[in-house]
Amino acid sequence: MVNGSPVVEGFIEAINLIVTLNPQVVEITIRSLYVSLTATFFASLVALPLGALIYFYEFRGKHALVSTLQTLYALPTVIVGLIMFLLLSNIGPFGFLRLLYTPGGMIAAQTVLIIPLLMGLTVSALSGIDRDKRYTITALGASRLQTVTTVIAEARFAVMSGVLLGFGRAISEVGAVMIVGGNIRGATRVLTTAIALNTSMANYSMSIALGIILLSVALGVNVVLSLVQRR
Amino acid sequence: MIAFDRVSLTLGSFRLKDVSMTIGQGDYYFIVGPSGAGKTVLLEAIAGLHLPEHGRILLRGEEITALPPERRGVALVYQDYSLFPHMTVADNVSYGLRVRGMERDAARCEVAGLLERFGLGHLADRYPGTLSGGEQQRVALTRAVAVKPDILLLDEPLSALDPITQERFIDDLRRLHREDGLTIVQVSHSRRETRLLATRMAVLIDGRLVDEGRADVVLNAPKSREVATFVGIENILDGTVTANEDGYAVVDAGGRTFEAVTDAAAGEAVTLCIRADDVVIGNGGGARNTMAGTVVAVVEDGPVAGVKVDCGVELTAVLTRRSVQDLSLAPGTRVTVAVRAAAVHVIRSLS
Repeated sequence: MVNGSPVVEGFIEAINLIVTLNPQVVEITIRSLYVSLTATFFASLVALPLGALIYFYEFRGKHALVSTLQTLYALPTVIVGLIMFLLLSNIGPFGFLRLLYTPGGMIAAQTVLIIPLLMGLTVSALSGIDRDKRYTITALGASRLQTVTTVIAEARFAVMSGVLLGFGRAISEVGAVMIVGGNIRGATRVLTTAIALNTSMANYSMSIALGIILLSVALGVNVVLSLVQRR
Repeated sequence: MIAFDRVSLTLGSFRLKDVSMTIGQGDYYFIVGPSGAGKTVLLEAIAGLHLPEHGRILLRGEEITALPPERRGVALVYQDYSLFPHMTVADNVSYGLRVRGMERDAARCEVAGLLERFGLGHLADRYPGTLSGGEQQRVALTRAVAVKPDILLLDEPLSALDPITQERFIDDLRRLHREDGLTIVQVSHSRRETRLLATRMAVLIDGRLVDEGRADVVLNAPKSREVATFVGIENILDGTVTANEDGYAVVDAGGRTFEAVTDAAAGEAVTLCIRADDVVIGNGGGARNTMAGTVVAVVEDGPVAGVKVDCGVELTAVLTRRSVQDLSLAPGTRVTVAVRAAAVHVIRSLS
């Protein structure tokens, strides 16, 4: 690392690691995708119906709730990590689940992290369907349930954008998975925590390789997002 | 067919106050009024989208105040079309049938004839975003008609269309009313649409229904001064009855007396309404109100022209452009103006 340009050297080696499908790189990448995709799936399962519920029902404090959700978009990942750690640790209420330092715990943490984002974006996506259209649907003879499903179907691309944004936040965060997962090699190490560790150990080529992959995932999400939003 | 019995309802800044009206089977019913009067809210209340705070809504004599929209047999078309952008024209039009449980293919078959009738057959597989405004509005109308509603509700359906498309659309609507016998309720602020299509109408001002009845009666013999102004009666004069003999009253309207048919007694304050086409310039042929005056302005508007005449009070007459030329009317021309007593509508301030 002393002679001249460790970055260029690291970069070349990183490409090598990716092209040769280095087992460690592959394993970490697959785990990262698995954890964040699963978290996005569970978060969607909870957040989309709740978001729809908030949009379709009028209740006191609705505006405050939506504002709170929007504030939670910026929820610090380490705070979620800390709270989830306390909940999942042996002394916490969910300690019996034995999820601390497991991929399951990381999934739980990322799910909690992106639920407010997905809920808020679902409300926004549905709000994009104007009042007149909602009334038209109802006045054409659709029942309440049919009205709800038609509005959601009409807003599906906007809802999908929200889900993709949620996935992007999950896969790129480091605080929650670091605290809850513990960054254990071969067990809970994911792209972000591996980059943090390898960089601090001056193992730049590995960091750069994983960084390139993480950026490619983010880029891929963005490409899909722009395709969806063009609809 | 559908009746409102003293309905009151608040929706944000819009309020309906104590509205009573009756829409009969086969009526082409217009709801007119200035912006913000609550016309759309009234239309949506007919559809069942808002629950009244007070009063009852009756359908064929049965109370339906709390009946949900899908069981009212209505269909609603908004000014902005409200089409589904991710569905084809055929799927848009058959939507109402599909929510009633019809299979997608069966529903598409069912609406094929309608699409042809409204000139949309060749657009069946297109998406709304690729259509012109007029085509989109026609899709919205066809979608509403497809569910065979008892009442078709239209919220300013023509206001976003260009004049030529408007004419075609007016023909479509007239056919739906006359040939299909559909009961139609339309919100509008166009006097022209009202004159062309309405059989009955209601005037809504500030949430109150201030006039209701046969369209020609409301348009020519309104109940109040504000309705007269709104429906565009050209000559509105305030005056006082000075004498009344067997229903023929003499009204002093500030410098000029008019004879009119009314029961208003001497001393009563009244408002006179005279349509411009009832003001005859030239030989009045024995009309009771004949007076000399001077032309003060000629305002041409396409094939017709408004002629303002000062004859103690200012009266506006409407003539064809040709008549204006034949009579050589121009500011300063001395003319004789005649108005039949029966053409003077009297609004009694007590009523």
